[in-house]
Amino acid sequence: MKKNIISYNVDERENKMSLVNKKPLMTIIVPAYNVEKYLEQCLDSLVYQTIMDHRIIVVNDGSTDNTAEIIKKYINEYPELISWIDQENKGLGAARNRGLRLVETPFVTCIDSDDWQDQMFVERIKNVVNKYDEQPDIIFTLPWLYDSVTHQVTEWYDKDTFEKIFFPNSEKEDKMSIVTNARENKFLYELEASTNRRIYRTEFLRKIGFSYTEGKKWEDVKPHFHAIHHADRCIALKNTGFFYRVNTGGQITSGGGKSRLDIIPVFRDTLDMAFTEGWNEIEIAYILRMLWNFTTWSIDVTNTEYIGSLLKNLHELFNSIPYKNFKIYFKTCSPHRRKEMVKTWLLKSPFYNILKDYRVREYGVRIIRKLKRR
Amino acid sequence: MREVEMYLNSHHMVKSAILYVGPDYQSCCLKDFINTTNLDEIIITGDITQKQGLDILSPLIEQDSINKQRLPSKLQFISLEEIIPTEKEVDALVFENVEDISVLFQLEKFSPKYLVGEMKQQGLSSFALWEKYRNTCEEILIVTKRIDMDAQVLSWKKNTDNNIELSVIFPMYNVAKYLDQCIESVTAWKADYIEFLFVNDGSPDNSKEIVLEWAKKDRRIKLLDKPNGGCASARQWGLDRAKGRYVGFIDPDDYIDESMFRKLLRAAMIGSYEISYCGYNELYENTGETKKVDDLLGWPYNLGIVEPNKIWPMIAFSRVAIWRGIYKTDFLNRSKIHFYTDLRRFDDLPFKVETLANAKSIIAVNEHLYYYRLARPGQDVSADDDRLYVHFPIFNYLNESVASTKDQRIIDYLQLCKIQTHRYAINKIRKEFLKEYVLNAKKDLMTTGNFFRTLFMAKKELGKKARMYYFGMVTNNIMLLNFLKHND
Repeated sequence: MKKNIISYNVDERENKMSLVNKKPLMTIIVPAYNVEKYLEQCLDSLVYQTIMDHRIIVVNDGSTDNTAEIIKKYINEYPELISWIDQENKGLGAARNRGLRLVETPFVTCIDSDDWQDQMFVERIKNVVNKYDEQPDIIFTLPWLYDSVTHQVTEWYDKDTFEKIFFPNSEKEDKMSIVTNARENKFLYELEASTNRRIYRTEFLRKIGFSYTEGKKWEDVKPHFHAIHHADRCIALKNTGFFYRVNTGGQITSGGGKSRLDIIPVFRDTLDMAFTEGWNEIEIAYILRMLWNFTTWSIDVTNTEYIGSLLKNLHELFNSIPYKNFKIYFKTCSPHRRKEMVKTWLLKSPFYNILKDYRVREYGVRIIRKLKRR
Repeated sequence: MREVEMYLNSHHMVKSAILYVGPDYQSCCLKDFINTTNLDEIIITGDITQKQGLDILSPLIEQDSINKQRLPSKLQFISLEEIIPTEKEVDALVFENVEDISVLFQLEKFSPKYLVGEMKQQGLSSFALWEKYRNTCEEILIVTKRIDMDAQVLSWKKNTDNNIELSVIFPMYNVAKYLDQCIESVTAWKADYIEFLFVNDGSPDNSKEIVLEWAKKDRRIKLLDKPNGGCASARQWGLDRAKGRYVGFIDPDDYIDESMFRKLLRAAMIGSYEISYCGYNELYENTGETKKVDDLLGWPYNLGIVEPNKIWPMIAFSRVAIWRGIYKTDFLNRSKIHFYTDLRRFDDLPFKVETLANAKSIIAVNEHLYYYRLARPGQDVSADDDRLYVHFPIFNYLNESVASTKDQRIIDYLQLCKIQTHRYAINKIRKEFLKEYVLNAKKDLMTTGNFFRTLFMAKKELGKKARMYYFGMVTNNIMLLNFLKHND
């Protein structure tokens, strides 16, 4: 060896495909609807995992483009790894439910077919599951955002909350996360509702009768509260997660259409569940917190065509929730208390329609800020 | 995880890499790198001594027993002097924390298929690296880190069928007199990844022969012939046949600074921007004077904007000048932007509004690099009669394509753009055409906004005078408009 060279070798790794496990650890459900552009990258990231300890169920949700051919190509290549269901178009929630029913492995997770997964995802999950004595009900991961216009990678929205919950006072990177549940730590409800970042224990899901909302958008919201409310052991894994593609739409309107209106039935369902099952007030406050997040965001992006009916429906929804619950929400977990109090009052009043104009909303914020300074 | 690691993580075909590191590279960085990527072979080299190399490697090898499966099967440190003469085949050349990228130019002989790395903003740009490696590499990803700002990412993939990065389209009709000067200025940059498409819109003069003459000397020049159909149809004809990843439009009676396209392409590629544009000079033909035109060029536009809601105000406030920018072809296709071929003039106004309403990222080059010839007889801009009525079909198209997005902010800026355009036309148009123009303008302004709201907005964004113009137009008050016209 030459003087200036430091070298290190290990034996050649075994051929990966020979390692496909007969009793796999987890199933990854991939609902696919007209995604010929992205599906290959997604499936590539799943079949080139560093450890083959998983199965993949692709649910073709009645695609009309080339999606089915791409799925077939992968199934021919990896018959023991991938299975496939075809159904007529029923939406994301229904496709996930269909996949969930077929799961035979101890753990299950979903991924949307326009995102893709970390190469070491399965390996990391396997390592962490073996470290805990009792199997966790939910494992949270921390995904990344990938901007498809600027090609930048950024941190997931709720990284701070996530670390506050699972890694309090930890300086060391590799430290294991604490085991917690919603009864010990209410902040769990604050996490992003996205379902793809969680790995569920299949037994646990079957026990609580878990399913996604069908036929509506925002199908993650109710299951988010449902699962966290019942889970006994939640853990987290910091260094892995899927890549969430943002900024893909050719049209700016992609987010501002009619589907925005779906937040009203979704939250009504969630609140009904909470009231009938007798959840405590703090938990309901956290549902209101998420309702507020969605409200602010939706009013901002909904386009002129639907904003009127969105506001009208929100007005009715807000008036049907007892004010007592709002009071508790403002006291406990409201991030912008003053602003939201004014807006709640406006939405509940008959003048809710003035929120229609973004200029009014912007000036409103400015006026509140000025009042605050005084 | 950062862009470089994300890239290697999602490209399973990259198995071996030379990792070129800067002097302040630490062992923990390498540990993170190995933890998030899955390479079989890593050769570390760089501007560091053997002792530093040992410091970087040894902590990892000692931990071997704990974390064996995450180490690549081959991990080496080779100093820079040793590695340059050796023959090696690697998939990727990766660089991190590098301060002086000029050394990277020497590593080209390993002909890596992938060039991936992260550098600080400095004199030598990632564009220079791209120019060096674009012939040998399949894919290139270079992250330029900036102080207090988001990083810019150059992301490039080799085309399978051609190597054209930029197509420049010249719609040509009776411009023989100016053509030589124009062609000379655009061909001065000798890059081979650019093509010049001269679309001859059925000119009766000898423009065609002039272009063919030039094409003998310069293989990048191509002539496309089409029957006469107006400027818009010529631009569309060229756009349909352009192969480049970016596309630019030049009027062949103008000319440019020799560096214009290189600067535009560099600015656009460094951060994968969808549009890049520069400033322009007005050139008065009768006197030969030039004048720099004020525009949105400085901060924050020259640093790149990636928020659509900061781009939208440009719909109202930037000048209509299609030829001073280059546009990503992907972006035009995805947003379904095209020229309205039935418009005989001002077809760059709808193009401007549609690109800005759809763009997600944009950057300005803060220099005046285009020379725009004015005061030429017969030029469209000097129209002062019913030819100005063309604004109404234009805004009809825009009501369909842009206002139908139903986004209130875009509609508002479109409304302001309308007020500006009509104001310009009213100032210009001859008396006998004014009355009908105002009637149509009123109809047009009322389709996209209500009276009081626009009145309020016009004052806030454009000033009192614009509000008066708006008021004059909607109330059909010719006297008021004439008064304003004389005082504007």
